[in-house]
Amino acid sequence: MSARPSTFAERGAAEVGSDKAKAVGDGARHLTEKRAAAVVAYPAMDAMRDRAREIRLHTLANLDTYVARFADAIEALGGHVFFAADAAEANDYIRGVAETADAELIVKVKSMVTEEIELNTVLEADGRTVVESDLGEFIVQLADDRPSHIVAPVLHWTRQDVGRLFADELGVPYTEEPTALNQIARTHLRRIFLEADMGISGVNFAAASTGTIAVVTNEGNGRLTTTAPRVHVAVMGMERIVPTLEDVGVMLEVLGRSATGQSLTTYTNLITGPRKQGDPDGPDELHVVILDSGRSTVLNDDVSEVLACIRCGACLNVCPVYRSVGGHAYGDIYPGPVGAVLSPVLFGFDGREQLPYACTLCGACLEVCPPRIDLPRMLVNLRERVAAEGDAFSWLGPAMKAYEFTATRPVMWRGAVDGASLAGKAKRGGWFTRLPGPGKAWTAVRDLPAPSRQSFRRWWKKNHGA
Amino acid sequence: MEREAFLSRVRSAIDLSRLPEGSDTDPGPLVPDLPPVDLVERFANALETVSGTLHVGEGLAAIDHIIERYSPGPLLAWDDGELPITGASQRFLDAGCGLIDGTVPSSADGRVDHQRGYFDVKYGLTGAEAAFAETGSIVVRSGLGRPRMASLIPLIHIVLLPEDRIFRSPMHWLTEPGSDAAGAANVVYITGPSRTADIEQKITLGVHGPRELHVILVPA
Repeated sequence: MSARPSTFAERGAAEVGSDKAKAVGDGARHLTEKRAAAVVAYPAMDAMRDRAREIRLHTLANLDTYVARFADAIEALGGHVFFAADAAEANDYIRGVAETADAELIVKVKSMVTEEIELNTVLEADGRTVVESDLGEFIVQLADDRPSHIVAPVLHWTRQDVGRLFADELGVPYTEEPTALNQIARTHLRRIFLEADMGISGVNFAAASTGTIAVVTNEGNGRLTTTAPRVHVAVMGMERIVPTLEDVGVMLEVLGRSATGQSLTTYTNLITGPRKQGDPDGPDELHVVILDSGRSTVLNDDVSEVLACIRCGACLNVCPVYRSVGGHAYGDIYPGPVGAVLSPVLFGFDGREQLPYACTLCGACLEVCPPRIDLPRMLVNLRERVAAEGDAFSWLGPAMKAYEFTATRPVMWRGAVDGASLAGKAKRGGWFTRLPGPGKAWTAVRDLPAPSRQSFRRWWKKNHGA
Repeated sequence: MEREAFLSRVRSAIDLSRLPEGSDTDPGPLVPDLPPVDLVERFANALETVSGTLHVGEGLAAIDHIIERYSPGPLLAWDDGELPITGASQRFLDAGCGLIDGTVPSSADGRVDHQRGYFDVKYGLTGAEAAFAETGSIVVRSGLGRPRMASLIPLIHIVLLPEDRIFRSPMHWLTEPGSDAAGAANVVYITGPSRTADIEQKITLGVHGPRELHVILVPA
């Protein structure tokens, strides 16, 4: 992969206005409309969102109890549980499972957490073949690209792009017809599902009391990955847990509607342990990897409530910033408003100082978030911390003092405003993209509207003045 | 990491945490307050919305109609004893479909060899535990004589649903004492045929799972 610009502003400037970013914006708007229609059609949505929030907050406040209960339940079902402090521990354990199972071919169902720990890279380094089975993730993997959305990974691809990729990589005749492209993927991946030695999934939700794991997909790849191979490895952030299977039911009420406007995702797969005595099929082995990897640190952070996120993507779809810059500008696997909060606290602020500013504080994300996570408030909190710790905004204090001094002295203010009006030409469509002096830090992060050539004071004097 | 070390790290984080005030006990599930409806009618509409087909009043003759339309092909089916009415598999055999063995061997090699035979399965025949009027979903439970693959690998999935098993919504079923959704290794809510909208948000059916879903309503 080629080197990428290092800051959100640089990446965003490179993306904004591109065909790719426009495609993401269109897709995000489309998903927002579908969500809105589903919410209107379901009279219980508001009550379910409230209940989902209460369940998530209760679970987080008692997470150790529920993690322990869940692990006990999985073991009672004959499954194996591994507690992973970080990505390296999780990856090492899964490498060991693959080694023991002699797994040459591994099939995967799209999972944010396995992307977070970069599991594929580790398994491939051991000489194993790892195949992503979600159509979008399959495209991303084939093209060595990165997902632009947590639910719809190839929102930034056109059908022509996919057609060319399949022709080049799979040796099939070029087509740009979605049904035909779909058929190509079906045929190609079907053999892999049926022959894979091991299947790896994420976990949408887990029920502590029963040890049940919910894996939802529209394509059916979640079911195939967790049914056909002899060994199933499920990887989950520890915050995926809720107390009971009925509580999982509440989460499912809000997940599909918020993500894609579906009352339920096509396949809502509830897995309770490995294949039972007498079952004709299903995996013989189940391994569940419960991952901390920074989550206990987040739990102890001002923004701990972000762990209530159910990964529906609704906040991405509705966000004006995400719609403009697309998913890649955020630099990490979690884009959009939730990514702007989660990535700095989960992966560290270093190099992510600008993410909390990738937000207009419009509040649209809070409006749509199923468990009503107050992302705007958290972004302000993170901004305060960036400002307090770094020197990126050290100019702001003196600048505000200078502003106060000028603004409270009419003569000086008139001079300053008129001066600014004449201060030269805005670089791009009436916006300064780069300013010297104290303006430099501001324009490093965002553009500044050029002052009108005529100040309001002058305009008033001309039109209404005595 | 050792279990106790892992858990104690979580515990100390919670102790210091400034989480918003939550309930001390699990708030528990919520059964939605939804307007009363005719369950069959609502289920039919919801199923149609998700591109499924409901057959009412046709009985097993619906199977003949489907095979006439799509021509015979390999069948993966639940055992007769697990289906709500007898004679369903026989209809397929009479129409010229071949029955595929749904029992997968436990050995690694035997398993893959067996599953290679699933590549071209055309029909899958299963029962259903329940259905949801609100969402158009059916619930399929694994177990003895009930291969999971029968509802997953075929091009066309045919479901025999007893008409008294339609519930108002998923939560109405899940909170029933008898639902026992964690009692099988696999319980799946199936809401229409396999679909994707990954390419330009255009919905196409039959990505990895069935392209068609036919629900045949049978008397209780």
